[in-house]
Amino acid sequence: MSSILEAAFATVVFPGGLFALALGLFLKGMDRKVLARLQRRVGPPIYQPVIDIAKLLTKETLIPTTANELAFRLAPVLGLTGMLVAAALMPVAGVWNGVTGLSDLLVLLYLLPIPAMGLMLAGGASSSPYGSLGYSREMAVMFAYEMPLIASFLAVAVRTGGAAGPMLSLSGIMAYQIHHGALLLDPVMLPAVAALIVFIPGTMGSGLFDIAEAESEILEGPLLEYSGPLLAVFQLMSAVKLVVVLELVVALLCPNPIPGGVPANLVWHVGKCLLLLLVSVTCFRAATGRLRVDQGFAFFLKFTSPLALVSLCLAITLR
Amino acid sequence: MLNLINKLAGRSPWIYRINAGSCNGCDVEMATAALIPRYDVERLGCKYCGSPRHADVVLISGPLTLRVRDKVLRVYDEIPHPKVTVAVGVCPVSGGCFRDGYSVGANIDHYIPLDVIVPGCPPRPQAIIEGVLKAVGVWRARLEEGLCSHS
Amino acid sequence: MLPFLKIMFRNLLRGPSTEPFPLGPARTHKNFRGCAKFEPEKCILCGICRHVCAPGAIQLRPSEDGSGMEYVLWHNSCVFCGMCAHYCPTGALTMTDNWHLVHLGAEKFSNCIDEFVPYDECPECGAKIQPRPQAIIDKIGYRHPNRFLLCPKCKRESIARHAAKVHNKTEQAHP
Repeated sequence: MSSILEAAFATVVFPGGLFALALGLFLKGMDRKVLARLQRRVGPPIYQPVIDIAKLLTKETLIPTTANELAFRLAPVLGLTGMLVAAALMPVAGVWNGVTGLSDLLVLLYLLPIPAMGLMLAGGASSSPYGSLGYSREMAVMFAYEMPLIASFLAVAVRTGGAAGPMLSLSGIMAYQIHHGALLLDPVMLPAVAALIVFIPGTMGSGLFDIAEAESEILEGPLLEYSGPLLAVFQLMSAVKLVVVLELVVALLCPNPIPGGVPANLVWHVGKCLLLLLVSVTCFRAATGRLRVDQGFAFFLKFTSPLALVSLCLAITLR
Repeated sequence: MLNLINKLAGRSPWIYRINAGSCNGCDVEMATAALIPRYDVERLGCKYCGSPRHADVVLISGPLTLRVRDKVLRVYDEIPHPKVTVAVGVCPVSGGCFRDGYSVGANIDHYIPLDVIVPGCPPRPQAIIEGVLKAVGVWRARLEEGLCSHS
Repeated sequence: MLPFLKIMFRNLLRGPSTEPFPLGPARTHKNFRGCAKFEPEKCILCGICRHVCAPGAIQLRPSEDGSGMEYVLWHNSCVFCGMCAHYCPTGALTMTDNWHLVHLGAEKFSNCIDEFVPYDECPECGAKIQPRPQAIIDKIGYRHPNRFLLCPKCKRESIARHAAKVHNKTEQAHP
């Protein structure tokens, strides 16, 4: 009974659910604010994403007559649900150790593409040419970044598992790092660290990899036909996805808690996520333009995947 | 709760541009207002969006040439309610220099209700920002009316 | 290498360069050409402004009772080119640096200069003539200010009388 309550708490309040939503909106706001400051602008207030979502709730929902209405309405909900489940699995060092005794790394591998699936479903269902373009681009980019993601996951799992075989549980990976030091500083893992940091903008579609939702090119692609509350759900989805991706990378590379109890660790965790966001998304976005689809695909195949594979090979040989 | 949402909504006007056969002068000024740090409309919560479905405030420039008229009307219908229209430049209202041309259907008011007008040829970016703020006022009033009629 | 990092860091340190405009005053250059300003007491109703106005923003309509003319300049048609002010002989039209012209769509026809310019009366016969403000007298009527105020008919008579007087004088001097 208590385990069910615990799971419900994890899904609805912390670390999934409300906490993930609030953190995601905060991170989005910080992203916009810092981006503005990097461009010498004042920028919107940090709570601007909340206002945007409140605004979208007042708008009318238009559904194209040629669209498949069920899929059109289901796509954002699917994406958000998948991400909320993923957020519930995330460990927060020193506060919440995540689900123990589960191969949750594998589960996350299945959960992580769900927002992209939602977007693809949205692009396909909206029956707009730009939506279809966004669909195909989303799929191309997803294939490109899944490869380094899986390779670096495996590298981390092999490195932490040691002789006992790959460690596929996030809480186990965390325990290893608390005992042996963060993987961020492990020379064997450095290529995988680079690959994971490039993976964040890749999956969030920012900077070089703003390919699937290219606003000025294919008019936000899959989101083109969405308006009102459904678009708000997509915004929430992308906020939670940001949290999941950042927390995942933090958990894989540097989950070490600090002394000082739960509040200090919570702040430490948010700080780490924020730092990672500023480095890998905001600065990246401020400094780079968009790649073509084929260039983006080639980028991941040529640079990011080999990096992750180098780490994996090193981890296997040094086991 | 609804009142709160209504109050917040006015602080996030997303802008969509329709070029109804403009000479591009007004479009350049709109891009200037959007992109140059000196004017920074994002500080007011504005965002230029690529899709008409996301828009709240529509900026229309140009004298509505006959060639583009049906397309403009179609795009305008794609924008979800409540929406506010801002005419940028004198062309949408009077036709400006192009008035009485063979291909000009000016006075967009015959087709689309213009809520706010920003005269100028082209208006300076500050004037466009002023127009957007005025449009937000109109939008707020409209939201409150909508609430009253629902309840 | 990576010059953009330096630029971003510098931008971060320098702080925003945004004008305070919607929340504070905006900077306007002193040569900024905003909307036109009209002073009816200087206007001579010559109509050159209407003639040079490319978008046709200026209208001069005779009033119904024949006592003057309506001068209308519609800001929603004006392109701020300044030709009217350039050609205005008396300086009745000038360009200001006022750009605060934003208005609601319902007020679009009231966003204009709408002034009534009354006709003058000829001091001799009382006929309605175009106004003769001091500005134009100083410019072209300064040699015979009294004659300049007359209507064309009286002016012709006055000139004829003057010519006859001069003729008579010369005839008497050199018969």
